[in-house]
Amino acid sequence: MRSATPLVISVVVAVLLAGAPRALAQTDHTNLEEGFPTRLEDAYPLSFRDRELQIRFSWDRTGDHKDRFTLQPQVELGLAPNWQFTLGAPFYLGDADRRGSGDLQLGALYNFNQESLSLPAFALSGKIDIPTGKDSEGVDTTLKFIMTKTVDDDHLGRIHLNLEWGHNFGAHEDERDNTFAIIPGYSFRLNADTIVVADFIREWEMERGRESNNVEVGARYQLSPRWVLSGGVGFGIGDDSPDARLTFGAQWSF
Amino acid sequence: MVLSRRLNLCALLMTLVARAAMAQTHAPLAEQRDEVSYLRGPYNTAFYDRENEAFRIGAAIHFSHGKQHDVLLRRPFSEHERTDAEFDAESMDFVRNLRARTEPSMELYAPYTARAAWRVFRAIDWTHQLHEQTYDIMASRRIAWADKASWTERSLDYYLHKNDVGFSCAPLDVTMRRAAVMMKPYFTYFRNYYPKSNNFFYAAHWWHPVIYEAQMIGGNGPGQDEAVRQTDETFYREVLSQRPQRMILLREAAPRYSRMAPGVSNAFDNLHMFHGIVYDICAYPEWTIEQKRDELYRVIKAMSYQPGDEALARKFPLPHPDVDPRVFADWMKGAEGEMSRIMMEMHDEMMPLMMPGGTSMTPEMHERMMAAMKMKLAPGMQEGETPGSLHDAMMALMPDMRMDPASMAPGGTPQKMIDAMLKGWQAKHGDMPDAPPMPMDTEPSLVDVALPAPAAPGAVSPPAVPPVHGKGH
Repeated sequence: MRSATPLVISVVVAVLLAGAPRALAQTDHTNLEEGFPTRLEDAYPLSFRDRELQIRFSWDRTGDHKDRFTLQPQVELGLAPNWQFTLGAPFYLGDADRRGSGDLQLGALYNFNQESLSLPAFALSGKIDIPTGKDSEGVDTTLKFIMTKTVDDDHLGRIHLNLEWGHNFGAHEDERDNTFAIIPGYSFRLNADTIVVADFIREWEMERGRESNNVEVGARYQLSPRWVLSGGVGFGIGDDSPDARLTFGAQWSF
Repeated sequence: MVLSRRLNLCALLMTLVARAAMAQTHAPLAEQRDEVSYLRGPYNTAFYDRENEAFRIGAAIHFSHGKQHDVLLRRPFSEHERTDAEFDAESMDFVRNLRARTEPSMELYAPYTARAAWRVFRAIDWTHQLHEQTYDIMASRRIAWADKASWTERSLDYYLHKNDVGFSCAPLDVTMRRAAVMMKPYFTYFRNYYPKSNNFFYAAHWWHPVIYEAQMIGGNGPGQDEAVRQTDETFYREVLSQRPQRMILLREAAPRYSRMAPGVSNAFDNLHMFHGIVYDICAYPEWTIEQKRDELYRVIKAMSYQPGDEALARKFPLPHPDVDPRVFADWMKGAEGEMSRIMMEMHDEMMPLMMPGGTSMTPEMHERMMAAMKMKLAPGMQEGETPGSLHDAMMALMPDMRMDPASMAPGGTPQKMIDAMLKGWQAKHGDMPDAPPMPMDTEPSLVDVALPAPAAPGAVSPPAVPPVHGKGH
């Protein structure tokens, strides 16, 4: 079961690439994606008929001074207007807890509206973690409420709020049934090609009794019409929090 | 159960926020974003890869197009002179120094307008996407010369049918009559009160067509690179410093391309005119933002594609069929051209409806009206020109002119005028022969075309940008 995940992803990616022309398309550095480079996501989806390959590499120094390296490839598709679908899997290395490495993740985001002069943009996203990975049991679900509101027209300054609720259907003894995260953040345009993003994460984590606080900052850079690169750093606050995080990401519209 | 309760809570929260927002404004609660990605083909990004300097000129122009909306809506009209000078300087800085490396969406530099009238940006971004597609097809060596037209047609078909905001493939002569903006109280505000910015876009709307034409005379080989480079040089050397006094249409500056792709050519003329109308509405100080949105959305609908427009696509004249796009010819510089011809025709078609008591206009009054109209259509304010819009100038000459207040109101459709003008176009041009297709069986060579004229004094220097070589497209 575990070893099936990379195969499934490889097949899906190969089929998508084989079905696509060699052509490439423009992507959008203003469209914040979870993990590229911070956990903050904005309320806007990929365009209808668009498709992206995304890959993220991160290093976490955990609160108990262990290292976790994460490689996360995923495919994102605009299969319907105002919808975004994601298929991917995280792979963990290092001496930190690697439970869930290789879990297949299926996600969807629906954007309710374009922001108006008074009304923020809203979206709901959901994600299912299928236990195809290391020591995984039961399906995990995540539901996220997303809000985006422009507050600085001169620099495309936007505040964002992510409220995340996760449910662990096959919790181990040392795990919670439900997890929560509150993520407020801010993004702005540094220049035509660069968006800066920062957030604060307050999280009630999967491990029973662990509550963490993290601050992240990073940038998204439109390298060319088809490539967006991102990089970010994060620091934990408090004993339960991770010490540090570094993230690098690349998005390729194909 | 738990999941269901959480979902209900989220829905309730969003409804409460929405109602709170509704209490502050009468605007529609929410528009959907409804963005559509562009068509995939073997030519995508060929223009970026092969003609990177030209690509970046286009991106800089689109920076100005985007930001101009917010500049007009957010800065007071009373400061128009200063605003005009400052924004022109900013636009020139962007285009001289090629500060945009990739194509900016309208929202990137105009988030206020994106929130106030999102549909406007959907329409503009969607048509800029068509610009990219069609430049790419012409730039791509992977598309054989004989296949350029069919790939372009495929791209136009996607543009017209996969999004509901595509501009019509019918000529501007028809869509301007459908839009019927000439007697609206905002018409000519932008060109009269922001002439530097207006003329920057007139220069930009010279550049867009002639780049297509440079590709048309250059062929698929190195001649295209040379023709595009020489045309860009003319833009920097002459056009930005002696800007055209009118919006040049593709049929004028890109006749070969217009013959090959008439629907695309018309869609771009419609977009370029739409830019001017949007800026007029944004600049007009008497309407609220909600009223401006109503009018903007009416104009989008009027200028959008309607089934059957394909039959009209070739109904335009070709006044300069052998133009050299690398030369800034004298006929490109003045206010007289296809655009002014269309306006004068429309004026004559709608005037009978507005004559007081059904009388006829005397030759003397017609002459005075035409003189006033030429003044208003020219950028800036001249001595003796009536302040305000074209409507204001005509009312000053004929105070008892009959106007329908409902159709002049924001979002109001002057249906009688539209009917009269479309009837007038049908009578004048309905039987005109189609513009002939462009033979694409023989790939052109730049060797056959004369070189452009030498530099003019007072020219703007082209930027120092390292050449970007092609990547096998």
